[in-house]
This record gives sequence, structure tokens and C-alpha cells, in this order.
Amino acid sequence: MASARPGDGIATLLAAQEGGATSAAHLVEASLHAIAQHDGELNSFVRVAADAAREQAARVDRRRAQGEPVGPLAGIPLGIKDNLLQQGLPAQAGSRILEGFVAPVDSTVVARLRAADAVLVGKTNLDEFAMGSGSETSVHGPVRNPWDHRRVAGGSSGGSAAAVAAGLVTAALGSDTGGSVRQPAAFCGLVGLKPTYGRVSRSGLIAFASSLDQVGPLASCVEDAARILQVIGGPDPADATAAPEPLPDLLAACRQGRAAGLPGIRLGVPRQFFPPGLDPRIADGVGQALDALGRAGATLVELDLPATAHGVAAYYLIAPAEAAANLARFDGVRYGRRAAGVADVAELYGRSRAEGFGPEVIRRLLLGTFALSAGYQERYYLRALQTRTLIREELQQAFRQVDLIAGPTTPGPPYLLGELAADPLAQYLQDCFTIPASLAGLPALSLPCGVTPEGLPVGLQLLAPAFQEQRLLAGAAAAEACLPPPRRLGGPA
Amino acid sequence: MNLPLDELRALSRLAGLQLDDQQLLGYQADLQGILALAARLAELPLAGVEPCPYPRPLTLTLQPDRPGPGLPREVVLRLAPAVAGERVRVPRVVDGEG
Repeated sequence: MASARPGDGIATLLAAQEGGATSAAHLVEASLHAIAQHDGELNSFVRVAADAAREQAARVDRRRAQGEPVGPLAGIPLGIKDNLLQQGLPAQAGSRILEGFVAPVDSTVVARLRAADAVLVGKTNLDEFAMGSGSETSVHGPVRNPWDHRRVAGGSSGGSAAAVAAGLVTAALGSDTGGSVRQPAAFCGLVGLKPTYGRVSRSGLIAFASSLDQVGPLASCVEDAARILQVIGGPDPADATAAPEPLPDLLAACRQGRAAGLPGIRLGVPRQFFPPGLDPRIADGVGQALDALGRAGATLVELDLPATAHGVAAYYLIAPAEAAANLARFDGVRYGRRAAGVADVAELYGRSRAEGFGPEVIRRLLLGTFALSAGYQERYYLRALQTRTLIREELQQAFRQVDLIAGPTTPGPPYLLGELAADPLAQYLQDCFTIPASLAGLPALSLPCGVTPEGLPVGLQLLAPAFQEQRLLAGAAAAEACLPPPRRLGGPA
Repeated sequence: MNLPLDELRALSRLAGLQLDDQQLLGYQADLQGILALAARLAELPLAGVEPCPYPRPLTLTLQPDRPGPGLPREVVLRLAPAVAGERVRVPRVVDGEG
């Protein structure tokens, strides 16, 4: 087992360390070696913290050797999306405007991973300020999909997804505002979990849209995602939006779900998730997966959720409006990039921001400012918030009939790099199936469910009621056992 | 929704972005397309529907009033783009002052 690899999964790697067949030091070296070998092409990491990771791994090995207890993620190499603060490391969120910013504190999720003895290998690439569906807008350059280097890895947590899919790390944290964990998970053949809004602290997450942002794991199986959520979730006095509800035992939920299987589970399938223009490769892949779940005992129930079809329109008013407020703090005064040779403070703000933000961020700031401006706020922003109510109520109503809701995660397979660059609206429509759960604050997960005829991964999305992660993970673990196992890509040798 | 140049100029000013007309016109078609999609929300039966700013009700909770550490001064100064002594340096804020 000296050949243990980061991509082997958490349970296997914990057991191998406990049995003395491998060590945290070996795993971190394997991860660093894999990054050195493969990441030049993928561009999934923006910063590798080799020395700090080696020190963390050595601490874990020392404690094990001395018979001291170790945490639930001891020695597991993980990646952290670069919009999450990790003390002492730059946190740039893919933006020029945060050049030179070094995180003075840990985000709550990073602190909890450290306390669980995870080994934090580095920071992963993303769309600028997590705004995008292809991880193409980063100041560090685009991320490539390990399944096909000509294609996007998804976004905005594309670096986290590519790093896990290529076996460079065991799992990674992403953030999901309108689908930014689930969509890259689908594009890279992984499990991606967006928890209930409020389940995970946002303290130390560089804010994009505060009523939507949630941190979640990308992993190679449902159980790994559960193990990570178990560590990062739960109340946090540092974030007033973190819910007081305690976390249930998620690993037990996965195991019970897998043992119980799908008989008795009612799976709602909204007809709006299979619109006429849906890519036939996705319709076929997800359709076959749902048939397999039906054969395994799940009862499929057709749902009609008409308001969800307006999710994209509502989201692209609400999220930019919140971004316009949140990104006002980047002004070149206290940290980050400052424009040179300015005459007064107004010019300092205007030029630092115009030079520091990329085109997609500027587009959304203009859109959000429009939605909040006098004369338009009622016609746009208010209507978007009312639409959000309709979507939330529709989904709540649906969960009186069904246990989980299922459908495609994305409307198409991973697209070619640059293919949608000139058409922002087409990019926004990539989020059409992930946005409803985001607006309603529900937990949702993308699960690999097969491949297209050309061998690209397809994701099945499952949604559960708020704070029902145990139901979501139990159902996902049961579904995972019935679906063809995703092909694992080559990782470190 | 038509967004003429003078409206784009006003938006960029409100957004704190110093963009020239050429740059603003580069965003015009995209923004108009997105707003055309957004205008379709008017088709929904929204009369009397409460807006939903957060997906669940948020209540402010009080925490014990205990002093805690802030960021050390040297860390704040290290992050600042420009400093003067122990202060963050900024350009002139008020006209007529040196």
C-alpha cells in the first residue's frame, strides 16, 4: 500500500494510514508529485503550499506514532478554492484587484479542516470572484478538464473539480452560489454537494452573493463528500447566517442509505428539467440513470414546477445586485491593487476597480447596479425576489409528494474552452437546473451517472428539503450503488 | 430594455467604475439581452407575493459582549497598498486640503 494515491478515497486512505501501509507524509508527497507532473496543463492550482502541507502531514504522522488521537480527516490531502481564506497564503479569488492580498486569518471551514488534521495542499483556480460556469475568467488563466483538455472543467469551482478528478488531491472545497460546486462536479465526473443555505459558515469566504453563497465539497464519492461536510458544517458564532441546527451523523446516513437501497424512495422528476432544447446526450444519460433508479425500486413521480423555469432570470438580477454591494469593498484603499497616479479618492476608486476587475465581473456589477437603481428596483430586483418566493414555495410543495427531486445537473456536457466566451447569456443558461435549489436555499448534489457517446461525464442532480442533508446523502449513496461507477482518471503513479 | 449610452455612464458612475464610452458600449448588447430575459418575470403572477431576500428567515442573535483580538496593526499595514508611518495612505479626499 506504499502506492496509496490521493485519489483512492478517504476511507481507504484512513485505513491504510491506521494499518501502517502508508503515511500522511507519503500521501502529501504523492499529491505534490502529481501536481508537479500534471498541473502544468490543467492549471487547477494557483498556489501550492508544499512546506506547510509537509509540516501538517509530519504532525499527523508524529501523533499517530505516539498513539495520540488524530482527526477524522487525518493525513488526507485537500485543495481549497482560492476565494476561501487560509492564513498566511494569498487569496486572490481569481482577480487582479486582490493582487498582493495575503489572508490574515483562516476561514471557518479551513480552520475546521485543520482541526480535523486534513493536509491542505494548496489553493485552487476559479472564475474571478466565483462568477462563471467555465473557470475561464481567472486572472491565472483557464482550467482544463482532465477528461478532455480542450474543454472547460466547469465553474466556478473548476480548479477544485479538475484537481480531484485528476487525482491530484483526494477532495477539495468549492463554493456554490448558483451551481458552482455541482456544475464542475458534473463536468468532471465527481460528486459535488451544495449544503442547505446556513449549514456551513461563510466566515472567511470572499463574498459574491450573500443570500446564495455556500461552501461545499467536491469528492470522488458520496461518502467522501459526507465526511467533509461533517467537518466543515454546523453553527458558527462568526457568521450570523450560519444556522443553529446541529449536524446529524452524515456518514451513518450514507451507510444506512446504501444498505436500505431505493425501494420506498419517491423521486420527483420536474418536467421543466427536461425542456425541449435539452442536449440529447444529457437527456439520454440522465433518462437512463433515472430508469436504473426506477428498476432498483425508486418510484418516479412527474412534477410540474413552472416557476423554476424563471430561475435564471431571477438569479441574474439577485446575484449581481448582491455582488454590486459586496464588491464595493474593493476600492484600492486598504488592500489589493491600487491604480497609480490618481489625483483624488474618486479617481482612486474608479480606476482601481476598472483596472482590477475583469469583464465578467464588470458586466455583473453594471447589471446589479441597474437592478438596484431608482426607477428599476421594483420592476427588476423586487420581481426577482418575488419569483424566488414562488420557486421556494413550489419546491416546498413538491416535497410533500416526494422525498427527493432528480434531474440533470447541466443542460449539456462540458463545452470547449472559449466556445461560450462571446455569449454571456448562453453561459448563464448553463446554470438553469442548479439555480432553483440555490434560490430556495436547498441542499443539492451532483452525482456522476454515466458518460456521453464521446466519453464525457454526465451529472445527475438530487435535491432535498432544507436541512435534510442526511436524506440527500442517503438517497445519493443508494443511487450511487445502482449507477455505473465513473471512470477514474490517472492520478499520481 | 434599451440601455442608451448616457444610462450606461450613470450606471458605471454608481458602480464606482471609471470606464470610457468605448468600454461601456462593449457591454451594451449583453446587458440588454440579459434584461430582456429578466423582463419576462413580468409574465408571472406576482401580485401580492412577498419578496424573499434570504432563503430562510434570519434572526439577529446577541452574543456576549467580550473583548477579543482584532487584526494586529502591522498586519493591516502590510496589506495596505500605501502607508505613511503607521497610517494607510490615501489620495486627497476633500478639495482644497493639502
